[in-house]
Order: sequence, then structure tokens, then C-alpha cells
Amino acid sequence: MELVLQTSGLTKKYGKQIAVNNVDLNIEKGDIYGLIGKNGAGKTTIMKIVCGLVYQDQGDIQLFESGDLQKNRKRIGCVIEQPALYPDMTAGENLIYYDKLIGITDYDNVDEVLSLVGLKNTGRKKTKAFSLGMKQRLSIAISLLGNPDFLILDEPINGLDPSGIREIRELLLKLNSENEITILISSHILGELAKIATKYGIINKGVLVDEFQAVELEERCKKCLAIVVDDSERAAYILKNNMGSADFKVFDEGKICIYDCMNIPEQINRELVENGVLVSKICMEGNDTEAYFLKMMGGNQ
Amino acid sequence: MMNVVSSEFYKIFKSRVFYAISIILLAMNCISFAASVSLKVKGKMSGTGFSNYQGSYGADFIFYIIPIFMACLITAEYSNGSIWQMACHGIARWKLVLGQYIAMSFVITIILLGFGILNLLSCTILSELGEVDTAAFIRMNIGVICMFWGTAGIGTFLSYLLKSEGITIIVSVLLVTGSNFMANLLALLTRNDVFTRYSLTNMRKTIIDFTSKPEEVMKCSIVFLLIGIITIMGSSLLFSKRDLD
Repeated sequence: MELVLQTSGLTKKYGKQIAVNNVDLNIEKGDIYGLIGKNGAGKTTIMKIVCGLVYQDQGDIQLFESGDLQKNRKRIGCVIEQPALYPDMTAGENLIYYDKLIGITDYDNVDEVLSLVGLKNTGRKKTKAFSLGMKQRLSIAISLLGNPDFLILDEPINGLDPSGIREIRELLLKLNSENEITILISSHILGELAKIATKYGIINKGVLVDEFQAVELEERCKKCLAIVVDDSERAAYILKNNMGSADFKVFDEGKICIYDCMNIPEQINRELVENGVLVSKICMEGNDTEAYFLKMMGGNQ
Repeated sequence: MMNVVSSEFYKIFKSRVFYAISIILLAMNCISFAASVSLKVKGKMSGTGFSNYQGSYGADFIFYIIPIFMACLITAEYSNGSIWQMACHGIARWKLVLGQYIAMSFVITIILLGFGILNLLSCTILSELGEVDTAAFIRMNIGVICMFWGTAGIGTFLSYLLKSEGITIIVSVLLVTGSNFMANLLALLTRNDVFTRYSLTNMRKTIIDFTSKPEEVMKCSIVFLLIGIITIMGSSLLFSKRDLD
């Protein structure tokens, strides 16, 4: 699969403070990559480095698996931090300005993009009179000019009402599936991110703590009955043959997670003990995705 | 590059500062015309179209109005965040700076030349066009354009350096008002009049004076042009090397 973005050893310092520390990101074509982290974790800095707004102190970036970074940046659309709009222009005029800047001379795409983000009926209204949600939508519209292959969206659903969030989610999913646009997105609304992302990167204090697929996340957050035994091999045999369990995983240090017999913990306990397996711990485990993300991001540190 | 220039023109014509400065200069044209009419009625009118055109650039307000125009347009990019959007399309940053400079300088040149031409026309209607050496008139206009572009370069550099509209305007005003003082001080300390000769105000006076020596006008024009080139190179360097945070 083609790598749309690959960073290796990306590092950025502001004075003595390390904003981004040795980050290796890998985003494949077709991914919706959710970058998750607390405020000041380094998400925006990574995005700014990729977009060419901030220079890294160390490390390399490769876009679309080819060397000419600046040329490849023409295939990116981005929304970084705040909506970047000209307040005295209308939505259409803002789009025409950016069309001109990137060399598009046919402005037919303006109406098309405006209707895509639900701003077609704003008419002569200047963007200074727009709500934050409308500004966010217009920013996304700007990022879509020139049919980019890769969208970088920093907190794109900030300030949107629930219906607006849903519309943007549907838009992003549509862009990803129909136009094959790869998306790098950060958001504080973790539940919302979990609805669209196919891959996640968790960043904490500038360090990419973990990078995993959405299916892995489901696995990690799956509820289970966790037991800790002195002989996991024998316990697994008993679970399979005596209890009829088919869905369990054996981990190190005698830990077993059972996914299919969660409602009979007392029976499992009795069966194991009667067969000479010592059970030192038995409890329910598993997170909802939001709790899992928070834990990975460093909890309340 | 042409994309940047064309988009900048579009943006300038949609901006408030373009209309504000045009209206201010038009109001000055009207006041000048009204004053000329009053003098004509009293029979005291002595100026010609050319002398009025020359007088249009006879004050230091040029050195204030150009940096204000540049500062309002460039620093607004920082305040509304559009500088990020501009810079993330894979366009070389120096091209963005140069494109902005060309478009803004071109527009302010047209506005200021329009101001002068309106003054020339109004006085010609009330009095006469007058006579002037064609070569001197051409030299003056070339010099005036160099002065506009040089001053625009200063405004561009200060805007990229300071990133704040208010501070840029204050520094520009201080720079112009302080430049004569600095020139006189340096001349006094070094006992060399080159500093006073090439102060902003004196160069402007030399350029607009039809009786100035041609080589002096050319020298002053070249100095303004050099100021423009150096400040644009500086602005490009600043914008290219600094992070856009």
C-alpha cells in the first residue's frame, strides 16, 4: 500500500522545550488517521511541519513516497488551528481567492465545494458574520480546492453543533471512500474521532506513544472476564474442554481474558479450583474507547 | 508567481484599506480643487497643472501612507490566520512575499499616480497645464515610482518583521520622522553630507524638483530602488526562514 505520509525521527524544539520528539508516523493511502493527544501534546506542531509551516529540527518527511516535498505539498489540503478566512469577503470570494492562488482559473468548483460543505446559500454574507461552525465548514471547503489527495485537518469539528458534526463526519467519510482522499485528523471529541478513524496515533508530550489500526482498538477495548491463575496452560485446557469456551486469550504472567463466558465467573472459578488451578484474581476488564484514549494519553497527568 | 500576483490583486480590491486610502486621497484631491477654485475666484491663483502635480508628492505623507497600506494588508494575514493557509499550498515562500510586494506596490503606485494626475487635471482646468522639460518630467515620474516601490519595500519588511499592524505603523512613522534627525546627526558626527543628501525627505525633494540635476535624480531613484530590492530580499528571507506559528 502506498504511504501518503512517512515521517522518521521528526523532532521540533522551542527553546529548551521539545514539542515533537522523534516521531515516526506512517499513513497509508486511504487511511483516516486520527491523531490524538492532549493540548500541547504536539499534534498541531506535527501537522504544521507536514504542511511546511514550521521547520523540524531533526528528522525527515516523505509525502507520497517521493522526494520532492514542496511539490508534493501541492497535493495537500489543510486546516490548521483556526479557520483562515478573509473577513471582508464572502464565502465564494474566499474560495475564488484561494483558487487563484493555487492556479485554478475555472471557478465552477466554488459552488460545488460550497454545496459539499453546506454553505451554498450564504450569498453576499461576509465571513466576519459567520458563526464558528460556518467558518469551520468554509475552512474545510478551502482545503478541498484543487482536489487534494491528502487532507490535514486540525480540530475541524471545533465549534460545530451536533448536526454539523454529523455532516462533517459524513462528508469526510464520503471524501475518503468516494474520492479516495487520505485524511489526517485531530480532534478533542474522541468519540467522534472513533466513528471515522481507521488508524490512530497517540501522542503524549511530543512522543508518539502508540500507533494502531481501528480493529486493534476494538480488540483492546473489548470487554472480557480477566483471570489470573498459577497455571495458564492447564487453565486454558479446562476452559476449552470443561467450560466450552472458544474465545479467550492467554497473556503473560498467568493472565487469561475470556470473551465468551463473561456472565458465569463463579462457575469458571469453581471449575478451575476443583481442577487444581489456583485463581488469584478474577474481574471484568475492558474500556470504552474514550477511556482507553485518555489512559493512553497519560490519564490526568 | 503570476498566480500569487493575480490572487493578491483580487484580495486588495476586496480589502477595506484599498477603499479607505483611495477615498482619503480623493478627498485630498477635492480639498485641493476647492482651494484652487477659491484662489481662482480671488484672482490669486498662480500654479499650473505641472506644479500642482509636482506638489502632490511634496510632502512626507507618501512615506506614511505606503507603509500603512502595506502593513494593513500584510499583517492582517497574521491576525486572521490566512498566512498559514497561503503558505501550505506548496508555493515557495519567497514567491508569496514577492507576489504580494509586486501586487501591492503596483496598486499603491496607481492610486498615488492617480492622485497626482487628478491634481494636475484640476489645476489645468482652472489655470493652465504649464511648461516643463519633458526629460525632467519623465525623470521625476521614474523617480517617484522608485520612491513608491522603495517605500513599499520598507513597509513590507517591517510588516513581516513585526507581524503586528499597530506596531508596524508606529515603527514606520517613527522611522520616517526619525530618519531626518538620524541623517543630520550622522552628518554632524562624520562631517559628511552624504547622509543628509540621501535622507528620505531630501531624496523625495530632489526627485520631484524639475530643476534638480539629472544625475542626482537618477542617484536618488537608484537608492530608492536599492532600498526596495534589499528590503524585499530581507522580507523573503525572514518569511522563508521563520516558522509560521
